[in-house]
Amino acid sequence: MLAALVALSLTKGLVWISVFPIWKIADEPAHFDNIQYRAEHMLHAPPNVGGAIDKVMGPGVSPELKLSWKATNKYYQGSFLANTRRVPEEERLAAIGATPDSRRTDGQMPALGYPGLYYNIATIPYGAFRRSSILTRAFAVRCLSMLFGLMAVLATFFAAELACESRAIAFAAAALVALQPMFSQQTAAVNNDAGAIGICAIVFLLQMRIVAALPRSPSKLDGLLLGVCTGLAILCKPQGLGMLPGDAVVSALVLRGRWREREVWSFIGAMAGGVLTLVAVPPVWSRLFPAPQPILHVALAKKRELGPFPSLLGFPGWVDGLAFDYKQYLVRSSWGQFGWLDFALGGSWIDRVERLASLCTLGGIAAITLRVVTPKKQRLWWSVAPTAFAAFSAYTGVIFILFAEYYARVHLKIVGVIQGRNFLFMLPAFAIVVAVSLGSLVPKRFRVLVAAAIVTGALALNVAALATIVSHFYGG
Amino acid sequence: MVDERLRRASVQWGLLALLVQLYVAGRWSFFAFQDLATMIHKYAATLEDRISQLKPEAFKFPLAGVYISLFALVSIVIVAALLYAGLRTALNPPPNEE
Repeated sequence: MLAALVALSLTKGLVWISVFPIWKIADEPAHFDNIQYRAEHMLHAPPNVGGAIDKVMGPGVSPELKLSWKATNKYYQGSFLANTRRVPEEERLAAIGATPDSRRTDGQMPALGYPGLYYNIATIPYGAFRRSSILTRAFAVRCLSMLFGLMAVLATFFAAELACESRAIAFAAAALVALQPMFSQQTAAVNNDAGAIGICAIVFLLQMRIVAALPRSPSKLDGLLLGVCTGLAILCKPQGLGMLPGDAVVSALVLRGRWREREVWSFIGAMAGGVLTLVAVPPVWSRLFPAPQPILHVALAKKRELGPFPSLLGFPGWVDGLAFDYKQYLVRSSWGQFGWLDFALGGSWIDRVERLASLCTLGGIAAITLRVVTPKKQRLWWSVAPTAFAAFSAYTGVIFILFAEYYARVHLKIVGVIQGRNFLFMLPAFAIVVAVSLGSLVPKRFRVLVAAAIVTGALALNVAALATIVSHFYGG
Repeated sequence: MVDERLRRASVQWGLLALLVQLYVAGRWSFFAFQDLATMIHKYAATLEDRISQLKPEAFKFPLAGVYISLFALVSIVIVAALLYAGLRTALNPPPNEE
């Protein structure tokens, strides 16, 4: 099953990478610019000193990025060259890629403010093809993102195996992750989303392992591993902070009834130490050595830009009052709003997905609840604690991202900082809840058939998304 | 008696969920292949060229075509294997059936 998942993820990833024209996924130039600055200077880009940063293509980007950007907007929809697989710009890009001047950038693009882990790792594929065309380097980084996606798929499979005893359902949960359209796009793009999704999936797996093993106490090493991985997730993208509630709940579960035991506190200490060391070291380093900044600098917002922590009491009312269109936009952009958010899977398809997924999940949850409250003692095929933890993680992820928007609107006066794809860091938890819920609708003997139905549905959705993308970019 | 009724109800619900899922998957696949067929019919000669432009050699056709074929093959094998295993288990339930 593992081999099948690896084959599915890699072949699908290569197809998605192939069909997207270069720079046609939101913010790819900004993320690439950040990688380029780090790879060329081995430093974090200098902080912005007041000038406005262009959101799409800044004036100080490298000449090769400018040229490839112009070319990708020229060969588009109905304006491709006829009877050739190669355009003149490819020769020029290959030629100038070898000269350091054409790779020089000032690093002043929107990704400047992000933590640096993904970008630092991406300097490896970038460096491997340093003197090749920018096309090769950008696609090499896309392949790195694909590997982060594979990491998330495998972590989902192992986490699902902890939640239920059906390998077929665990496979279906992992396939749901692999084939989800927005996940497929983000893990085929030059984007730190891919890194955050992959590392958060590992954190989630580690949390699930500890929850599934309760009441056995986790070791100090378990704590350190969980802390370090959480720290790495935070160093990849701020969504990593959304893993902290899960860490807190795991700690509380471990502590329950055993708060006097020394090894329990060792676990919590090792975990907290792991997170704090990774998150605190880069800012302290950059304070000690102000310029130039090391490339692993965590570029959190400056103090004056952060407002006070907003009232939690106002949050539920704020969510309730959100415009229907905005909520629909969040759902759509978490399923299939591609490119620079300029085209989407057909609206009616999305509606059907939403309705079907909601209905099936509700049905599954009802079935699970019935099994729990039924007086007849019977052995459950899924484990209560890991499944409940997955459900908790999924919904905490949604609340965390919505809270980020609430905070930005109320205290920073910025609207629209989040998109549906920001929820993807908790996709593994969602997939497990959906797959286990659907599996609970039927007796054991039909469970593999349910897994087949889930995988077929997910595949159909993925193919539909591919057809939409090919039609958008290459039709006309 | 109650157990038998519960068993039948869960089988019926399960089959209904499965049929709905397969129906929706079938409809999506139909739309997707219809879209693709229309595109291929309209741009048969140019689609491979268009997808290949401004990409490194490893992501141009014919290699891109190889990836698409492999993805299709892997998908078909996975679905077929799951359906085969699923039908086998459904028709010959293990003795420790819940």
